[in-house]
Amino acid sequence: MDPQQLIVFSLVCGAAAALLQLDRKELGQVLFSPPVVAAPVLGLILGHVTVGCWVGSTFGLLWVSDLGRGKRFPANDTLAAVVCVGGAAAAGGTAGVTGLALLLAAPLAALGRFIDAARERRNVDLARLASRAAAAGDTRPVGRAVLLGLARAAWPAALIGATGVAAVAGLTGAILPLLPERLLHGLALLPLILPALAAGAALAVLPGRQPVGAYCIVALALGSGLTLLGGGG
Amino acid sequence: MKERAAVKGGPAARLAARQFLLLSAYNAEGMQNLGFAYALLPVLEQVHRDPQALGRALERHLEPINTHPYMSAPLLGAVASLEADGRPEQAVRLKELASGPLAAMGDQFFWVGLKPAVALLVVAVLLAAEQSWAFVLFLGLYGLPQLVLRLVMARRALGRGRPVIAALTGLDLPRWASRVALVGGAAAAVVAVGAGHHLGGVAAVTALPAVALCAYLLVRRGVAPLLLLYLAAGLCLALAGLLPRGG
Repeated sequence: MDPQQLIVFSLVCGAAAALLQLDRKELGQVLFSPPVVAAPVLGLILGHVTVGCWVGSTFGLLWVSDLGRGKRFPANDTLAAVVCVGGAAAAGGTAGVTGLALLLAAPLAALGRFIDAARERRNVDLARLASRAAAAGDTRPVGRAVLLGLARAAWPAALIGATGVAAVAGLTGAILPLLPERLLHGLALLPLILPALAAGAALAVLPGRQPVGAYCIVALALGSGLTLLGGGG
Repeated sequence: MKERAAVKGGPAARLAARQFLLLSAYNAEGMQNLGFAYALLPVLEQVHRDPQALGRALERHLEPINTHPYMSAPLLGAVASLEADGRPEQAVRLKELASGPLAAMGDQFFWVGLKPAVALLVVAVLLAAEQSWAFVLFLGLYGLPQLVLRLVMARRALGRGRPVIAALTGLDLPRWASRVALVGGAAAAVVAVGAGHHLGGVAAVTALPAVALCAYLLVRRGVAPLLLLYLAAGLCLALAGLLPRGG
């Protein structure tokens, strides 16, 4: 692992994590931040588009069913995807590396959820200040609250994005040489297998039972067709 | 009472742009109140020249509010229109009455229907056609349409007021969500079979759709996706360790 490249990747991913966090919720809401978009684009920027596609296919579907209604926040799949792509790319970007990076970066989605919830509680002070000022005829704190809200969202994402990439790349580089060949083979299969699992998780959020019916019919038709045509690849 | 289109020009454009900051300072007490008030501020400044009256108007809109971010555009537009008409009580009442139903409509159509279906479609194209540009589909089918819809809805609601919200409820979005979900179901099958095809062998083409179906059942029963990921990875690694070399 080239230390200079690791620093560059960490900085790029830190900036990407901050911008994508804003797109995810605070500014715009969902244009580039879903992992199916963010991961391939980041992979393209870092020169590892295949890694981006593997990560986007898994993390882009795995938490789609986690909607975060009421007091519950959704898992921050964007943060996990950014760190995973950056870490895997910095560590070489092979299938085995990506498999391990997926396992190492996944908990960051839960950490991101925790940070989002903490920020929601912390932002209460901004709302109270703005209400008091409005009662006194001062409207400026509302604009300041909006800017502070953006800053409070961006900096933790940038910090976790940058340090997370270094940590995932470092851990991957340290763990992989210790693993037996068979486990390495298993890890290399993960980026190919996990999208199927994630598709099942995504299917769970679709309304009604008809989507499952459509799934079964199409899976049977495609599976039979591929089997008849020549053994499924 | 007939509503008039009083909000135009700079304040209207700023309201339309500021709707994207609705969640900027989301908080546990007022939820979207800061973002909502900030978006309305240009219109309130146009209507109320006296600082004390402006402060009172802003205070009204710093009350708690929570709706779907994509559905905030018609609500903001209609509320701004009522404020401009000098009917602040009706503006507050409209917020209270419409934010919940609009949130439910937005959740059902965008987050339960369209977003997962388009995400599945993108991954299906990614796996089946091996095209890394497939992510552009997400921008084309989900990102840009919601963006345009929000800008158009804000503009129309500013001009016509509450009838835009009534027209939205007439669109029957839950029915459209069900239709879109069918595409999502089919795309999920392409993802599962496509993943098996990439692994190679009849066993993989048969097993991975079954794995996806198991994941579906487990998530429906409340199993966390993160736990599912580690269970599947553990199983995969255990099998890789047990299988004969090259198997």
